[in-house]
Amino acid sequence: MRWLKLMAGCAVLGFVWLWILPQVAQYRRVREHLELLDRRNINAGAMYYTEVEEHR
Amino acid sequence: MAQWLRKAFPHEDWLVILLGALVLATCASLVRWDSEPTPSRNLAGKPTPKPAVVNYAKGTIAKLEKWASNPLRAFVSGDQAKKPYQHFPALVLTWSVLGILLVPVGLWKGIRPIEYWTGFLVLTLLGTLAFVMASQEVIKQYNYEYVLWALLLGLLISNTVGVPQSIRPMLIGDTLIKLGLVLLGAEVLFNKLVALGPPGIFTSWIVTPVVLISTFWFGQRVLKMDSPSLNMVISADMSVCGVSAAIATGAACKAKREEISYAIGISLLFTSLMMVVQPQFVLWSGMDKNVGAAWMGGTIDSTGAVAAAGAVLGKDAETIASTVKMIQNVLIGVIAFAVAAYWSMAYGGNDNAEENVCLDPGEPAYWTMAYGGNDNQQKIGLGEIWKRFPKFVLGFLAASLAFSFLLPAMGVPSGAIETITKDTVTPLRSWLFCLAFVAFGLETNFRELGKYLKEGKPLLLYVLGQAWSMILSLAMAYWMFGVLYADKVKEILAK
Repeated sequence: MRWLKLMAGCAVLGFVWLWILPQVAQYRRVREHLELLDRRNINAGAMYYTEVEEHR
Repeated sequence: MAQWLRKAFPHEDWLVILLGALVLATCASLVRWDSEPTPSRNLAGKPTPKPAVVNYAKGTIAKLEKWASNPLRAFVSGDQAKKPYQHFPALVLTWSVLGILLVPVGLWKGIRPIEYWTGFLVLTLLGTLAFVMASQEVIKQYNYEYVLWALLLGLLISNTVGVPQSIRPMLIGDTLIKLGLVLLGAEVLFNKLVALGPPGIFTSWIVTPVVLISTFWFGQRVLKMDSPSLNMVISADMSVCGVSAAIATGAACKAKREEISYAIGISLLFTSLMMVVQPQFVLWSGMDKNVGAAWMGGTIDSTGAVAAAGAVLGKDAETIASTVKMIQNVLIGVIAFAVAAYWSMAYGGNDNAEENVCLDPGEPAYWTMAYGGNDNQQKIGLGEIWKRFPKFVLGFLAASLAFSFLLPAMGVPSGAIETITKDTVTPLRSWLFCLAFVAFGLETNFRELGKYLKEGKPLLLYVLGQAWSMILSLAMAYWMFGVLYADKVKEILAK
């Protein structure tokens, strides 16, 4: 039972990281935003933290 | 060897400081620079003489790449011209460096080689997975840091299949955090410490005693708790710094071993919740991050959890939160001394004296430090304060002083200091924190902690005391970091 719980937990993590998050990244607005960050070489952290350098 | 180490380093913190110094000295020795300046141009197009700096250790500590749908891309450089999976050698090197670096700690703690390497392998594999999870592009975009995923992976295992006995000796999260904090000293230049000092002192040194005294009073007079020593231990571990404060004040007021264990259990339960929830609350509420960081530094019980919560808010927040917490940590000795003095006056120093025995030596140094071997006779003096002083804080200060004054005085250019901290010390510290949080997760079993929720008055005391502490700390953090010193702190951190 304990191993089953662990496998279920791993399955949830795998599902989120390998399916849901890549799907979220494909949404047009999210994709455009990620591409914009990549194109301009902008450090995503700089959007949230003022001390992070804007450019990588 | 283990005996020799224990004799040479009676307190674990001294060993941690030595290891931190070795790491920093090695990182610094691997940097070379030209004495002849190489001209370069600044943004305005003006030439600026800048010495050419080469860091031979750059790239040796693994930093994973962003990935979208294939996690293996985390090990591939964004530069397609380079070989795929080029981060693997750096990864192996990082693991080797950490494995060798921590050997003296393993020896000092008396961990058998098979347990050391098995435990280390588990920690590093889970730590690497946590870094991979944090490198997913959507996660990275929102800056959910590796510490969250390291903790999550540890919690997942400890709360399902549990942790095998053979790995338990290597769950040395506290030691890893202390070593990481000594390295953090090199990143926090002294001028920042000095700038953060006054608001940090106000935030932690005024609120902490007020919360401690008022919670103890509340427990005795309003809740009418049966055991004053349990009341004191809970009040201290909630208001000062969790486990070590509980042990130190437990020794000072001669609490029973189960009272100390109980207080530590409640503290661990709430610390694991607060270090996840509090930074998210700061982000959600739009609170100033400096204020939020100082607030977390003043309220979350353990130093490691404060560092993790601060890291979620960014590098500056991590610095502020850790600094406030370390300033608060300094109070352990003073508070233990004051409690011991009060106890001998109020209770004649006899409360639970016969029960005052050493606990399980998961942290041998702490037990010895707190109880002075098995000596039940309470001693009060300056020596007692020194004995209970968290000595790794001295390593943090020494590292900060060395990188702020000593290295520049020796002619090391600022570019070299920058590459030492940015390209080697910071990544290594991140790995230490990551492994620490895997260990914390593996040590936390909600089923065991859940029993504390069933108890009445002590739990109520902790919850109300923590709520009181959060209100007072927030008010003081806002006043200090949001009003009085707001501009000064921002100005110094921006430099």
